[in-house]
Amino acid sequence: MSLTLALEAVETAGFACQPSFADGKLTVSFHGTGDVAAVELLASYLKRLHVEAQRLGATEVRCDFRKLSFMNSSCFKAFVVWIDTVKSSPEGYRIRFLTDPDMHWQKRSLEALRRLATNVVSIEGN
Amino acid sequence: MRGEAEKPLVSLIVSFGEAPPQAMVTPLCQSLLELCRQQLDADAATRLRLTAHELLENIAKYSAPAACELRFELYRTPSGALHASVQTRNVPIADNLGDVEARLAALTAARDPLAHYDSIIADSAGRPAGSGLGLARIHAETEYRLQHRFEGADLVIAAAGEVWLKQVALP
Repeated sequence: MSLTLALEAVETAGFACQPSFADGKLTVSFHGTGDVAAVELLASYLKRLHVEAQRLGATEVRCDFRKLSFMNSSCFKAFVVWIDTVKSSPEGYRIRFLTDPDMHWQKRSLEALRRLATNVVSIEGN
Repeated sequence: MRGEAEKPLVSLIVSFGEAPPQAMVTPLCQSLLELCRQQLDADAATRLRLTAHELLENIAKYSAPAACELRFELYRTPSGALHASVQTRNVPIADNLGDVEARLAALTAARDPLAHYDSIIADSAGRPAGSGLGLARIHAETEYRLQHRFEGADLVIAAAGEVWLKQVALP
């Protein structure tokens, strides 16, 4: 029996997370601006994403940032916490960020996340 | 610091009677970028946005009930370089004062901004409240340099750096 995704899309003012699961690949597309309005939603969502990735036995989770125009440091911290959790998890998985090279902040911010866990995080699109 | 004779290309002062609502941070920073869109390329614009956003969000979150201010200037130095300056003024919450002072002191003393940033990022995962990352992020990701001073109870934080002119299309 194939596993189906049990993580729904979420949205708040100016920010949205859209998950998909196909061919064993779990992808979350982030849209809008990750500012103060998004912080609690994002932190909670990434916790549930971790649980879901483990339940599905995902070997990789893709975070599509190509529609994410900005992320503040509080949202950035939510990713730090998630990556730290994955890094120390016995059933870990890789995290791949898909980026838009024209959004210059992504390269700099995500490179810092990559340095946090070089064996977990990779960046595509720079 | 720039001389008195230099006229800013763009300047903006926004004064608040008390800490601005956090929901105001994003629209205000977007408006700031619109003011400079003719002068800045995309990379310079994102550096400015990040700097303004983190500084303004700090005063929205960590101010005592008192007046606050955001100042922005885009100006050309005598050598022809384009510089931007974002400055905030607020009265910090007493409980937060020690933390912000320690962070600013460590930041300005750090010989390697990236290494310092990496250590703060690693520490932030276990920090129960607040990210503690905003100022370090400015320092490491934008190349703006931070300075701070106290004027009475007011904390003034200034981030300034060189920006790049928008590329003009070749004929």
